[in-house]
Amino acid sequence: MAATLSHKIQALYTDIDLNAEINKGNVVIQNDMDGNGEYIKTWNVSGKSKPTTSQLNGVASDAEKVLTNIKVGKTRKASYGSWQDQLDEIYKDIDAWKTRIKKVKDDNPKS
Amino acid sequence: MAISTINLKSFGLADPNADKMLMWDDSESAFAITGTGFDVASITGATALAVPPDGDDEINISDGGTLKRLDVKLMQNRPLFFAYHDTTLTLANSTTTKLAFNTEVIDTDGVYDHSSTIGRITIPSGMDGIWLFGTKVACPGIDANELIRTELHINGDNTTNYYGTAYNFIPSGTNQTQTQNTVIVVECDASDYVEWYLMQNSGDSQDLASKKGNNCVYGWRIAGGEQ
Repeated sequence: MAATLSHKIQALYTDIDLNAEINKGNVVIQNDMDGNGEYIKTWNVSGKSKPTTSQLNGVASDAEKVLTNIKVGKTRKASYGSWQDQLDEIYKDIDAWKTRIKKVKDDNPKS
Repeated sequence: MAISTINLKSFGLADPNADKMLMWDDSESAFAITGTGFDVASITGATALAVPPDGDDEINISDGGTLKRLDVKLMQNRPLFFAYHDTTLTLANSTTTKLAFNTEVIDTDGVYDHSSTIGRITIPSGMDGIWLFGTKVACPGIDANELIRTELHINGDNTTNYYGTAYNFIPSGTNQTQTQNTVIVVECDASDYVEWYLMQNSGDSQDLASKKGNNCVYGWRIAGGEQ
């Protein structure tokens, strides 16, 4: 699916943890399903001004990269397996583990 | 005074007065003729109501010592509604999206607005009181340490301190469907409106399926009047 408002915010402010801000209630992105789409209902991030529409539109292509990298990260995570299984792999043959992990990364490059 | 109401028929008055009651008004220390009521002679209890009463059937109740008639529906758990979405509903990442479910299964008193852009109930006049609201959602595409969160909004605001909010994390795995059931009991006033929202932070947009058993909202009034 295409990038949405959250990805634009992440593209604009690469140094904030958006999920953490949302979980703390500092940021609320909302969609009231009234045809007007998503909007920033609450913005209270220390040291960061609320993004303007112009700023968000300006990072549209970067937002697509953010989304792509999220998808890549999820694909990688699924391929890595659980940390318990990876520890077992490392214990048995660390070189084989490194080779496998490198292949997962090479097969799923981030942009 | 021991007798507070007397049917005028017992004085031998003609029938147009049969529904009139002679009432002793303590505050005025005088008799007064009041409005329609029962023909006392017909209150025998001889006939059983063999089926559940209709909503507008009436029972007798004492309101501070005055006998009054009361519609049964005012004592039932209604209004009652149940709604779901008959197409997929897309939730953008990290966005609190209204569950504007557009299909009613039941709505006894027309409280749920099932327009695809509304999806809310409004408490009718006379139906204020204690309400139970519930929702069930099944959101796909969730990995470990990602969450879905259901919120109940009253009059446009998330209820204070996430009251009415349910979180759901999964400890491990990827691409899981997370189910969340939320039940809330809350006091509502007439004209309050209630909506449901869902947030997921899987990183990408996710589609809720159009299954009434998976994604639905429901509710009913538990009790009304002063508690």
